Amino acid sequence: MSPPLPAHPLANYLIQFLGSALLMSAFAMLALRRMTSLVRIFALQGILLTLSTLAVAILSSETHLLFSALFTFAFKVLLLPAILFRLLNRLRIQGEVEALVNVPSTMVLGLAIVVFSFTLAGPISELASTVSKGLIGVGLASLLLSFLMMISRRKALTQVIGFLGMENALFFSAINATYGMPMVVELGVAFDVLVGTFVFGIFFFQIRETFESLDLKHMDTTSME
Amino acid sequence: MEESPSASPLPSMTPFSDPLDTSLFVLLGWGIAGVLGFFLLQRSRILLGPLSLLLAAGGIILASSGIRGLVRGSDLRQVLPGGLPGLPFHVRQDPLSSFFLLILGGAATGILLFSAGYLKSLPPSRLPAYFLRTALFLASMEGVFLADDAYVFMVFWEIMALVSYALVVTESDREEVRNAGFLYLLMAHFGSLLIMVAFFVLASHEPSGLSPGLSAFTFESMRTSAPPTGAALLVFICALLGFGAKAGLIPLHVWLPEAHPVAPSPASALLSGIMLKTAIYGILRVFFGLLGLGHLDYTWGVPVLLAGGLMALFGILHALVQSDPKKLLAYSSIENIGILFLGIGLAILYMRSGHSLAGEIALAASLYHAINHAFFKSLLFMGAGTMIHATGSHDLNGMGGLLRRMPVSGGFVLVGVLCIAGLPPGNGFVSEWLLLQAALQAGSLSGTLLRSAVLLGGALLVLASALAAMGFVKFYGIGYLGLPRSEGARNAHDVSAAEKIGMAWMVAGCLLLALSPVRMLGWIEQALRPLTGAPLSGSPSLTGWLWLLPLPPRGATFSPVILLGILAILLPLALLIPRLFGKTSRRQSPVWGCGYGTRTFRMQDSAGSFAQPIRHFFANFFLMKRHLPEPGEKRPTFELTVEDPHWAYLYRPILRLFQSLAGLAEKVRSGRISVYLVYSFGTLIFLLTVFRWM
Repeated sequence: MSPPLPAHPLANYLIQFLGSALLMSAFAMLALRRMTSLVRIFALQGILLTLSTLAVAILSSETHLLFSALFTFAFKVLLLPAILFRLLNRLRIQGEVEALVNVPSTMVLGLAIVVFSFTLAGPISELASTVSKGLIGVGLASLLLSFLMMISRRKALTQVIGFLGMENALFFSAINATYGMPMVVELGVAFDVLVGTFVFGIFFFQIRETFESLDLKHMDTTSME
Repeated sequence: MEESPSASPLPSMTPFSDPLDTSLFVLLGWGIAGVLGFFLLQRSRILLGPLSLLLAAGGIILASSGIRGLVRGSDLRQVLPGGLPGLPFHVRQDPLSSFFLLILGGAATGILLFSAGYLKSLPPSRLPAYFLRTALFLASMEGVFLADDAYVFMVFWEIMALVSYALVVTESDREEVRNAGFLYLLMAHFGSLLIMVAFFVLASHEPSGLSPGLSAFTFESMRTSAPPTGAALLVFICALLGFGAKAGLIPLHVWLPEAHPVAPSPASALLSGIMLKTAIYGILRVFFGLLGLGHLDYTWGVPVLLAGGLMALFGILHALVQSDPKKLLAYSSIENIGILFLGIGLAILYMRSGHSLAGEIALAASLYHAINHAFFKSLLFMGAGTMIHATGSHDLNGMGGLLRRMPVSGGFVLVGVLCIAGLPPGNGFVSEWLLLQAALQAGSLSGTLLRSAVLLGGALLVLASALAAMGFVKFYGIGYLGLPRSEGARNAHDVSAAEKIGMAWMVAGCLLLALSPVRMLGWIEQALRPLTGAPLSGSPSLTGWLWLLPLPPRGATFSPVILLGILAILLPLALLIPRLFGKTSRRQSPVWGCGYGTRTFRMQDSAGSFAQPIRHFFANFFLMKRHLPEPGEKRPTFELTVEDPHWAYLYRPILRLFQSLAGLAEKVRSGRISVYLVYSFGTLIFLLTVFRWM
């Protein structure tokens, strides 16, 4: 790992801006009520991720991060949203996202989570030697926010998006804490996510066949005889 | 304790010139013969005889290898390729292993000869698998005796546990068999876990640097380990409980009276006669070999001693109230293992308080009893098998009068019964007498508590022996004497030639052990010498072949040969005198029938009524449920069930605790996906918090 260049203040601002935009998008996911806009936000997250990876790559002159950025773009901006839109069409879902917990309460909870994450990430940031070490907290916060979305939503598809959002956040944290994971790992994770999405897609059809709905509450009773 | 290297540490390379090569050959041979037999027996059952003979031949070779090892006192090691990286297979046949190989080979030979005839009744579909399991079982037990590192030991130990489980559940279509098998497997795993802990502790206290990495797990480097007292105590407890679970140490014994009886009789004989001894071997190996006498404390002998005494009493009391002959024998195994534990406890106590002679006698008596038990208990299990076969009943109350119908096997069983009852000049008497002699040395100990503990142990031993005599009077009297109690018993017929030969082999073994105790003790002394340190000048025995004098220069002596001679003269006299001088006049039966004009089997003691006084006197040892008929009942019934109190007071509460815990855990399982996600979310937050602020 080469020592970081003396960072240009503008570049630093850029990275910080991208990070905060990611955090905003995570909040947006919590707040949005329409399924299609959820997928769009997910695609937006992919773009933000690509940009911030590029920025870190250029700032730290870590060339392998360029490839990471490329993969991120291909998978998370093009491929996965395309699959998700296709799923929405095939399943004829346009309607509202149904929440178990109402949106304002979720947002308040989300705020608490952000505070928690930043407190938590403080000491890690001091240990890290990357140019963008201040953003580890952002990654952690978006991860927990995505998790919160998985918990608080009712439809199966929102859970998948939450899961993908968690993966995005994880990737973001990795890049900011240690300039990314080794290439092999990143590729592996990317393919895992892809396959996972396919499998989810197949399952949705099966589930709808069985329960005539994608509402999780129909699956709840499976274990209770 | 460091052992002195053997006279010839390098094994010679010519095949079978040394005992270890022979033993390894038998190990391999048993494995191959088992697999071969598995395939051949699927074609034809005729081959059962020859194949059993082949296995039995392996047993004879093994026994001879054991004897050679004992006579020479050889200590042979080999390192075989394979195993874990950095830990190849270590095998070793030292005198202790040789002794146990002698038990294994000697007893297995008779059992295998017997099973050649007995197994003809097994359903054809079960025969190949049964044969394979038997062969593997024998091979794995041999592996346990030969192992010289923890890995080899555990591998063979686990194979032994699994294969013996398979033997237990041979008749797996009966539910009680499956339950017994499960219980056995559970206990076996519990034991293995504790044994592994003992090995790990020993390996971790090996002097660092001497054996890097995995080679700390060889027994050689464990012998050099110097654990502090706490760790040594941990090893002691883990080994005692771990091996105790296999040996039937109370309260871990509950599987034994369930599992041993449900196996086919030859398998029961292997389990009770031989497999229990692997546990004793393990205990001796860990206590005296690996941990070393120097790391034991004499107070540790007291719990072992008392546990052994209580086991003996408890086992024989429960044996007395059983009416299934195999269950009776299984409980009697607990008694005998208790006697072994008693000897081991005495040995630790004496040796560590400076009375090595008494300690050595106690240990020698233990080993003597181990080989005795292997022979007579196998014989009796075979006998029980023939009884069950002949009458088709698992209940002594369905037997009776069998001696008249099965004179040969009945005669053999009588020998076994006399031996196990500890009557002179049987072999059981020799070992129990020796043990008692050791216990009577309590006067030389200091400390009242210690002395009374030893004497209490001795008293328990005597009580248990006397009760054992009563128990086997019941076994033989109800089963073989009197009038037949069922149609099956009336139509019983004697067993096949192969079964007779197998039983005769065991009888011969018992007689040899009974009549040449001096030679046998010489071998046992060989086996013990490396464990107990320097050879003793005034070692037990050995004043000529005739007289056994365990505590020279003055002490009790015993000569089985002379005793047998006296009995041979007195017995005919005793039979003759009534004939010559008794009144021979006959009398007529009176009208009212109280002169026993007619006798029916209902007039005899039943299995239950025979034990009634015992149930009465020792009521605290049993959990009895009695159902007495009401005065007005139309069809009055009397019912009595006797249960092992450990079920009610130990195992069922544990079971209930686990079930209620599982019930609590079930509440967590709501079945809602969102709730599950909340659980992982909460856990994540919690862990992160702990990571950050703790």
